[in-house]
Amino acid sequence: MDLQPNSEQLAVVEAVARIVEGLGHPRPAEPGYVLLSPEFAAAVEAGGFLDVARAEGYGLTEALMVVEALARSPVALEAGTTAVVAPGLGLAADLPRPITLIDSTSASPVRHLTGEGTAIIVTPAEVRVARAQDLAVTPVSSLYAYPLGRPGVDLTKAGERIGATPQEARRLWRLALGAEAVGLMQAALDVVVEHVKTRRQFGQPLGVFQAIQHRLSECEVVVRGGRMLVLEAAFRGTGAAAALAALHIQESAGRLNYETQQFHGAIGLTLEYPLHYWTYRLRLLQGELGGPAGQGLDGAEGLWPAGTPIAEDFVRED
Amino acid sequence: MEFNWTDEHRAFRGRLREVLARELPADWPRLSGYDNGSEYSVAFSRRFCPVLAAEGLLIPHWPKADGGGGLDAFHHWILGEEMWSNGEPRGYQYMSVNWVGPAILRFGTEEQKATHIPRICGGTVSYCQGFSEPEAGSDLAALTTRAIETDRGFSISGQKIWTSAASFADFCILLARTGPEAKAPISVFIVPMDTPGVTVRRIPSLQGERSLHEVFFDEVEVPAGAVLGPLNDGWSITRHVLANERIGAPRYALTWKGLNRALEHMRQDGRLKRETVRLEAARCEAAIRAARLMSLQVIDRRVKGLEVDAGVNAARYAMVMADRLVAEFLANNCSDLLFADVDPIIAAAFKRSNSMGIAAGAAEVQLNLISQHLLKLPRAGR
Repeated sequence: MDLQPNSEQLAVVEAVARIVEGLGHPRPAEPGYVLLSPEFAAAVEAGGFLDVARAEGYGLTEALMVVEALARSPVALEAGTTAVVAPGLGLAADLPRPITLIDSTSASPVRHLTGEGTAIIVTPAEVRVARAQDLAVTPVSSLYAYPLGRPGVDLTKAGERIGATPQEARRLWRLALGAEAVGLMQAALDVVVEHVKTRRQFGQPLGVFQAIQHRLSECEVVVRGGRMLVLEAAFRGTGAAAALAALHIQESAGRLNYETQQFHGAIGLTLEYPLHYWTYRLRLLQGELGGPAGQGLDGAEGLWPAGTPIAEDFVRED
Repeated sequence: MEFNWTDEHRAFRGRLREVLARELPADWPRLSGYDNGSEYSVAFSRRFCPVLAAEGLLIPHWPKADGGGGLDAFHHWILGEEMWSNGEPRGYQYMSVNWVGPAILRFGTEEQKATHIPRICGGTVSYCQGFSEPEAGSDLAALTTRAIETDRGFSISGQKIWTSAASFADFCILLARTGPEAKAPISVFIVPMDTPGVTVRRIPSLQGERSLHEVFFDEVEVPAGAVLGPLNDGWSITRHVLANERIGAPRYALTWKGLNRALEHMRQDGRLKRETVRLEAARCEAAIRAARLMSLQVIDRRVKGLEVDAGVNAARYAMVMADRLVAEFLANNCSDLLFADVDPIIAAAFKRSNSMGIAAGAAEVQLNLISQHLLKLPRAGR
């Protein structure tokens, strides 16, 4: 049992944090729903952070830590699929980027699907890899703080089938989704905590009011729990553990969205204030892969398969 | 990061299970009712703790020099998980090894150590905690029990309340103001419960036969040697005690076992096929796992000698959240299983959830501490 990140993991996370901090909180010339930054993307690429899972001595855990750290940036940069899912499925490192994930059964627009790069398509029966340019992508404009696109082809026939199973793809997807959502939640929490320390009403900072303190403290608890569940699920390698982690995190996302918005008041509703860069990405992740019900039912299937007695012993995996 | 136990930890859990299988009667859940204060449970714990001590399983995590096994704090946690999931057959003696002993070892005089430590190590002594008062619950600083210095030591007068185990404990670890002023400093006393002037009254409760009491101190004479630690510095000891107590007990272990047993009942009768039930159950499972991981992370910090920060309060609050979810799941989906004559373990897990957010410090106090120490939010008036 060793539940603290080691010095090398901390060094990777700190290096990503430096890039994120270097960016500051950029104010785009025109307020917009999505914040993109070629400079930020280039700095992350140059550092090799999205390839950490392929590096000697590193792996899935470090990749998830990178994804969480990158999500704390207001910039929407694809990281989860490139750093976690693609290497996990054994795909080559030189696939054109960004790499995106598509659930063939979902009608929702796809994050980062712009017609460039590579798409991993998860169907109920198989996993396929296609060039994004072959998917007849239509850009979708929305409040969500991701670039979004909708594919215009039959996804069950697009690209080439690969050997990985849909179950394995969904396991990795849930881990990547979980790590990204934890980063978004942490960033939104950090921003609102700073806000309630400095915003004064009734002659004192908002943060002295216990109604606010308690609700933000509950946010802190669920974010910490979600982070540990993702890391443990990555270690265990089971689909059920990944589904439970994603379930816990997607259910926490609603709380984080509401509380961080609420304690900002109206300023948090404006495009000039950066909160939405985190909370609106979080809103999209909250419903991905079928939302909490999708994760919960898959997790239940792994934990309690039909016809198998349920042991009372809680020490099942460790 | 490593989420698996070492072979040593696994072997330790295995030994505990062997001893439990050997010592607990087959119908232990029904005999004990998982009620630590029942006549049966208390009598059993008085036989069982010395057995654990003889097996080297009572205080495995204490230093060898103090009579322990010199093993890391994970052993203590594994011990707690195994005991708690079996309704805590040590009874209230878990407090002796969790916080009373460590406090005496750290702050006690040689005489106090000589009196108490061998008995704690042997599993032959139990304590109660004289902290809360009628007007000092979560606001412990409002306590008014007073210890006035006399020629022979101190004379203690006041009232404690909600005291678990008071009617059968040997000693009370008591907080009292040392001096006549309203805000006189606080000191800690170790008071034998058979001292003249100590009166205990049981408070019938939903939590068990002797889980709650009032304790009255009427000019109770104790020697100067009854003070634990420096006179007038009771808060440092209290903070130490509370840090050990807050996640001293892996309460989720019983909750988890109760949930699993309920799910097995529901699998057999077909209810577990319902999607809403499966989803709610998965939610409970995730919350329990999160609480356990956060607790283990705190223990890991102890093992590594790192400062134990307010992560301990976050872990405890996560346990409260998990317990609430499971209690709601049980009440929503299988109220028929909550009767003790159906399954005493499910019934006990459900019953314990009532006190989860109150025992060992109110859940809202944990939120205050998270707010101050993790979020660093300002405090009113500062």
